[in-house]
Amino acid sequence: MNLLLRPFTVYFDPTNQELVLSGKMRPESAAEIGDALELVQQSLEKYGGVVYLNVKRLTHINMTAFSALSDVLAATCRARPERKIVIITSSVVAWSTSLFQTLAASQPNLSVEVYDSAFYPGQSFVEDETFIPILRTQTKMTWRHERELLPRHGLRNGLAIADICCGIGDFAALVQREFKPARLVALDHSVRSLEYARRVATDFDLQGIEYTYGDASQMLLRDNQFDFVTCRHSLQIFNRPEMLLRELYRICKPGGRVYITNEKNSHCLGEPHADTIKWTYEEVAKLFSHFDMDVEMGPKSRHLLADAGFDNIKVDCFMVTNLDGDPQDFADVIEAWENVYAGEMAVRRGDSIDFIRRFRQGFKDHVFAALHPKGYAGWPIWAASGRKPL
Amino acid sequence: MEGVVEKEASRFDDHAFAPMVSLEMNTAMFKSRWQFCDRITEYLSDILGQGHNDPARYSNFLSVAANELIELAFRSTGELGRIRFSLYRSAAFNRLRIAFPNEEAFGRKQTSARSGEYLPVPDTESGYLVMKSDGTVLLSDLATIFRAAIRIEKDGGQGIQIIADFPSAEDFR
Repeated sequence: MNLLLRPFTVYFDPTNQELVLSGKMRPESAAEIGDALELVQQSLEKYGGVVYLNVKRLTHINMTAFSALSDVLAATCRARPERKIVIITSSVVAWSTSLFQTLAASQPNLSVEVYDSAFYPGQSFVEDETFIPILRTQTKMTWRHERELLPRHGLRNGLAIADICCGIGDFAALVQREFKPARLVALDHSVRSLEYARRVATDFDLQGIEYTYGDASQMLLRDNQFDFVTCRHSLQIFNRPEMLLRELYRICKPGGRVYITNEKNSHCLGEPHADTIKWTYEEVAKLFSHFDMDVEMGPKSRHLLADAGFDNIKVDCFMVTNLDGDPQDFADVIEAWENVYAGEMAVRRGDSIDFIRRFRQGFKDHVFAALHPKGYAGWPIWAASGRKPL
Repeated sequence: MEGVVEKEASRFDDHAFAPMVSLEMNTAMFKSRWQFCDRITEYLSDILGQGHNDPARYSNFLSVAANELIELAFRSTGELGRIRFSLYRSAAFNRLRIAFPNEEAFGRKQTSARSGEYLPVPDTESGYLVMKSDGTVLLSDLATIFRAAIRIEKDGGQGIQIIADFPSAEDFR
């Protein structure tokens, strides 16, 4: 059951016994949210054991709504002292945990847990600080192409820009320097990445970038604020890309554009050893799929943007190769991929030693191709953008 | 006029508050739509967020408290007169002041809520009831959560002002 009472949503997921509240709840009276309260009450009455109240993406609430919700929860706690209610808050929404703890303090069978783990399935794999130099190298290699492509997708000087899932902020720093935006917000859910980004901005005397800790699927940024919204290499590692695109659409101004980049990993290529390289990258796509990520998303960008409501969609594809600058940069990136994909993800999936050995070989051959004096190694990327209709 | 307001504001503590923005409207207009509370809250909290290390998050953080005070004003003010929302900034605090007419005015001493202090809960007759009497949510809880000092005072003969000071160095810990 899904009650869409704008601007918030309430639904109950019976599989996880989870009530999910999201958006902004600022009614004038409790009666205005009567349907939502009834759903909460009915769900709590119907299901036993532990029921989760997920408020991770509840960005605003007034005391009218909070008090009414508290009344329903307190009544249930009193009526069924054996039942447990766990409220899941988010570390992004800074007031949330403290506020809900005031309720938990008065009800022994009600507790609050702060959700602070990865928002994306793959986030934990790349948040290791050892990965930062590789991320920087990747951006250096892709920027050569994107610098030329971005104006075609509508980026020009003086715009209000948001870089969502900004990671270590290197792309935002380049945009700040090259396109002199009127405003630039860079959002990510990795505290460590943001700390790094702020440090780099300070070191390079880059002023004016607003770094913000946030959940890309329920941002604290307001509607219709930005002329140009970027989200690079992130939709593909998010298990619900349509949800993220909805948010990108929301914060984009009518007439503004959303720019996304994604890969199609199975199309990574190299010569010599084309076959082993091809096999390994096809396995990469399957491996990511196992963790609910779609690193084959690149060519689907047009479809995704169209489904999200964008028009005037533009799609480009470019190939990052070992001929772009120093071939060692390309080789370093592949080695880092091998470490994460074969060394961590395949192990976590439970792959056999034989499989992992074969899996690694493709990466090693890709490195060989990249560094070979007559070799060629490529990594294809799709850059797409769509306009939010006026 | 701003200078007068600021001078009044400075009486409450030792901080020197500089005015940032002031928004004034007819109370009848304000009360014509509940959604004005939300719109004004978001406008003001966006401004409050400026200059913070994480503007979007700080703005959201303050918006919950600011909204509550703006809704309190919505429920408390009459149809006549004008309501003014003002923001000030000192080295250590951001201040929101809401001044509005109230024909009943306060029939009692000034009300304040600072982290850890007792808050007299306004009674229903005065029209200030926004908190539940069973203690689930009090203004003092809000003050604690937002590490804010909140005061509700008389403003002249028939006016009321709500003043909230929020630490500007909020690090969300």
